[in-house]
Amino acid sequence: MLDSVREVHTPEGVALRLPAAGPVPRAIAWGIDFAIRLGLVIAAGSLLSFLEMAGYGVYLVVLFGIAWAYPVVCEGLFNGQTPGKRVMELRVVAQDGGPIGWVAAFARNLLRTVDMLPFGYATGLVTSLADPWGRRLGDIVARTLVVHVARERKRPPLAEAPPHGVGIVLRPAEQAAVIAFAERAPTLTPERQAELADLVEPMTQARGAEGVERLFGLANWLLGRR
Amino acid sequence: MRLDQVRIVLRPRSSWEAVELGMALVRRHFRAILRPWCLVTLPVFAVVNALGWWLDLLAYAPLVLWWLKPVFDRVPLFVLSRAVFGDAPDTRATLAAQRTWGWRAMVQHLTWRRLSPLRALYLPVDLLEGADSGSARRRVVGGSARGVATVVTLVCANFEFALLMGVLWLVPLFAPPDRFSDALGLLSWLMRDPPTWAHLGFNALYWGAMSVMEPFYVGAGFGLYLNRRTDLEAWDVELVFRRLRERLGGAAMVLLLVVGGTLAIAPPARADTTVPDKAVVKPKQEKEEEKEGPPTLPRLFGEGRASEAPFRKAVKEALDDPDYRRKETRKEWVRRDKPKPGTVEYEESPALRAISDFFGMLAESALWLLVVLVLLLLLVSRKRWLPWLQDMKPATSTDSGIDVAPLVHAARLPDDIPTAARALWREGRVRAALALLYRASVAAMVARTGARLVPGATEAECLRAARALQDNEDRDAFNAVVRTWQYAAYADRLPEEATFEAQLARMAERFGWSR
Repeated sequence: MLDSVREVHTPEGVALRLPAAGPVPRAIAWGIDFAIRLGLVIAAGSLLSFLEMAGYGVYLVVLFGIAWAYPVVCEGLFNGQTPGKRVMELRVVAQDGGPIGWVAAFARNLLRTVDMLPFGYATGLVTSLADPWGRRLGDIVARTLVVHVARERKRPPLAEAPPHGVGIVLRPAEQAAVIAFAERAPTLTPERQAELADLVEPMTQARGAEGVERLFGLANWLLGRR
Repeated sequence: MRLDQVRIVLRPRSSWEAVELGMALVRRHFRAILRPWCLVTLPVFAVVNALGWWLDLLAYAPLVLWWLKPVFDRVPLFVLSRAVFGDAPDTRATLAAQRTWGWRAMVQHLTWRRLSPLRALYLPVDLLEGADSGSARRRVVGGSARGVATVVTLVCANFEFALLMGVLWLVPLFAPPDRFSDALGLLSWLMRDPPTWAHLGFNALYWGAMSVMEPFYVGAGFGLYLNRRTDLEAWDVELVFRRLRERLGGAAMVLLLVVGGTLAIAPPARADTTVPDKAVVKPKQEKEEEKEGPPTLPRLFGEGRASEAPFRKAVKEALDDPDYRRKETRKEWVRRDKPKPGTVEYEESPALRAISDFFGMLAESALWLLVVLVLLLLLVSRKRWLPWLQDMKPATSTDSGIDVAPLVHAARLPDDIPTAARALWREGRVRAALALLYRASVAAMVARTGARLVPGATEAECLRAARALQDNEDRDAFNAVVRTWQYAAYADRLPEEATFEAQLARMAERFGWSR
């Protein structure tokens, strides 16, 4: 079964699922960061131009900092998120799912010199396309991974129905599916709802609209609304 | 479409994660895509360039190739749409499909919809759901994914450009530094007034960049499409419901006609694609059934024959399982490469020699000094470590607060228990007095009930044995003694003298101890 998730198993037997991020959203995040850096450089240049030659020296230092330290500092301080990555809901984590740490942030951003060769991050793009977790060379060296941050989503309201149970023990995945059905029912056509409810007729002992209603009731019951 | 054969993890995803899934699909089946892709695009490339050469319009060849992209996109889409159901077609099947598959939608995709940024998202709708899908269906499927699809198109175009420019930029990058400006000049001259070979080279580069990027672009769109269908029709829910039905013993195969257009991804009938085995020369056998003929499986099962690819894959996965193929990685320290003999000889000057000797002597004497210091330290602190060497117990302070009075032997109770207990109490050995009272009570209880107590019986066991006492009063008195003893022994809560006296008197009266 194919999924874009890297599974890491901790010694306690917990499977961490890291939804790896590929080149497309990362390129957009880089573009946003690039625009921010360009703005910073322009602002610094126009402010420091009042100081003539002395300002020019400071300007060069600022330029160096924005070019090299910006991603390292952002990833180190804000838990692996530069502003661009924050907008795109990405985060850099260690390969085992832990926080990134300064050394890794430093390594992966230093390796940009290689990834950006020969033009426009072509090397990084090719490795990112080829690697199963979408890593560029810097990530492979620093043992990091860029992941999609799971968004806190508000649970949609359930379809209302008088709660009642069924006589069978449902497995966790099945319970989740029943609840998902009740949550997503408003986005499905009535025919499709009936179709899905007919599938579990052996459980609900009903077909059609009544089966749908019973599934809603079961979902309410599973969520403890008695 | 058989949803129970799907080979991807279906779950509600964000649009970006759907893009990742599509790209992962392409990554897994890249080889299956690339071969037919080359076989389809290279002839077109050759024809277009030859025409361009002939008409002296070589510069427009990349434009034509770019314009024909929707036609080429059918290759990865065909492979992916079947690979999702675990039945990735081989090159031959893909090429055969290219002749007939999906041409109807090409008219609009090559004309007024060529510049649509939603091509990757809408191609699956048009090609996989049949020709009856109108713009309304496209809008429904597109839905919330259209924004992301537009951005993906933009980004992939930039990626293609980056790949193309990257290869071009290698020219000045590999030039020696002093000839760098020359290399740049060469590049600009090639841009301004290119000879024919430069044109052809550039066209080939463009074809290469397109071949790398386009499958991934189509895959991203296909991932978005699958995600939208999953959302719209709750595919993930359907999958779990089907398994639940199987678990409850229902019929597993319920064909669903998805409302709003089926995904016409049924694998093609295999009878015409399978090549009959070549006649194998076998030694003659008596059986006459062995006649060459078409394979019987398709004839028997026809359309309903399940594909063998998932089974083969399962076998392969089982064989690749680490339980079968154990690999161990061992790490151990090994010596680094020894420094090679034959170090460079050099002349020493006596002055340097003297200086180094002096420093060497300093360091050596410092080290000796350190040795002497350590020995002195050991000598001074011998009182602390010598006992350990001699295996002597470290001296304990006599005033540890632990009562080390010898135990009164438990088996022998004094004849006059109350007197002995009171004597202990007056001496201030309250605990010992209570212990004596407890032991005597237990002995009396055992004598009265005839219970068998194991050596080392706990207080609870004594209480349980005391239930056999006939008289309630006796039992209460005994229980009180045990409680008092427990409070004293385990909680260090000693009773008042009056309480002790009362209990003692009560026990003496009940069990007939001499006063």
